[in-house]
Amino acid sequence: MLRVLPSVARSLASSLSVRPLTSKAQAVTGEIVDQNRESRVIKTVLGAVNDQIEKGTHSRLFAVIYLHGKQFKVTAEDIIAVNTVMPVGIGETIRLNKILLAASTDFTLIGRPLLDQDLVRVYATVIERTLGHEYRIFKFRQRTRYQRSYFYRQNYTMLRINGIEIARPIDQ
Amino acid sequence: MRLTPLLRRSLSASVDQKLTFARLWAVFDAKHQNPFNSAELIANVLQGKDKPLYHYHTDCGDHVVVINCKDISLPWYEWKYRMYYHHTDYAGGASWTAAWEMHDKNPTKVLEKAVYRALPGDLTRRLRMSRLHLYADDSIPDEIKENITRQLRQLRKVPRKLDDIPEDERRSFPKLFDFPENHTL
Amino acid sequence: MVTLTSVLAHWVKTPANRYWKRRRVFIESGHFYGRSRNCYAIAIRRLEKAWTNAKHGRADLKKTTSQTWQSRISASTESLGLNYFPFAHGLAHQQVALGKKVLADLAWSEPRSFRSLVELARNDACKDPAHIGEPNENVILGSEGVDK
Repeated sequence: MLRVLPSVARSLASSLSVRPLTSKAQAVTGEIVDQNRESRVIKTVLGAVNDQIEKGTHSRLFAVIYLHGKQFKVTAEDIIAVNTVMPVGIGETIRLNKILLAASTDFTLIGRPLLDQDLVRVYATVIERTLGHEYRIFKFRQRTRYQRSYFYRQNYTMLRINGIEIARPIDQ
Repeated sequence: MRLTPLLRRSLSASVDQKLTFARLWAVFDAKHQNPFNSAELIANVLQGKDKPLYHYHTDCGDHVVVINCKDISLPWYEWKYRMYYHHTDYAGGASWTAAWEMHDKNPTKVLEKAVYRALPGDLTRRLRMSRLHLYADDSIPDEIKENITRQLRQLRKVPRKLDDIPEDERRSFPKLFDFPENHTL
Repeated sequence: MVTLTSVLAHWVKTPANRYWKRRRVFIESGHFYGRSRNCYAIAIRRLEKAWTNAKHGRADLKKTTSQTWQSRISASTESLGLNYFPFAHGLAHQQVALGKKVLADLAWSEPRSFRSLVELARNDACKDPAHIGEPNENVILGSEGVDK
């Protein structure tokens, strides 16, 4: 009999949204498997997750977003410092499309590599465009009287995460 | 758009913080273990490298209690050829002690020196060594035993010796053939 | 008296220039030990070395931070019975693009999600069966402590 950990079922269920399941993982263990059991487990898990999403009973969501070549783990009301000048005015709201992972206490949606854009929505507001602390880049060569000082400050755009929401049931 | 509600911070946050950095006590059975491979495992636990909170500036290591140090197993002929060097700083004061000799004098010394070598050689080394508790056999004082909360997995299985196998099990083991009566081994 | 333009004003060597030149250096060398705090000739040499060290330190910080992330991920995966490299390979093969920074963050802050990632990597069908770890049964109480 196949023993399915809740967490396995969770990862299996989360992978459904993008790619169909294979049953090769069972071939490794070499056990006799009830073929229908897997689909029944997935159905139960998906039903439980969809139920939470519809009723809004899930706990606070967090998401891993991909922005300007870096990944951020964010939740609502977070402020993130993006190391760039974003061509967005202060006070404007943007939607972050590249979401690698979204999760709550009871379920985890893992994107391969990205989640569906219509499934999870993350909104952010640009609150500040600022500079980091100043630092000195000192260049020095021995015995040649060569020394230069360059001063540099990194650009930062501060974003406030307005909220994360799951727009529809995860298996549609 | 529905904003997800703010999660209120737990009232016991300060308690959580203290529990997170509390020192745990682990036990390791050194019976039939290679002390030099075991030392790397123990050194990792003493440094806290088995925790997702690990940082090289944070003192987050655990205590390790090692039992059955007298039953360690050295590879190859290392009991004979592994030498421990000491010099008294006087002329002719050099001395080399073989591992078997060191083990006869103090059955925890080989493992202690192995762990000392496996730890990084900075100022935290003595502090971490003070959290290592070595015992020759499996009798631990009660005040230390009550702290232990987890066990480290042995790196290799302890083999069964012929003496440990009961007589009837030994006899019932399937035989391919019997030696002839006039055969001398 | 010759009147200089503002561009050439720094040609004039006055005691005030000397004072402010040193003042700028002493402000930065204030936390040094011994005479390298107060004597200009020593302070400026120590300061140049400090600026060079700071430049190298900014580069090294990226490396050590990455090592810390890897060691944190490794600690979490090993408590769940899988080594770091099979884990990373399994995730890559499953097209999960989470980076070290986020994985290290999930490792301590989101044990349940991290566990599902470990199971995903463990069940990766194309993995060599020799590298698939087993849950650590001898361990009485794991160091993760949160998600039982």
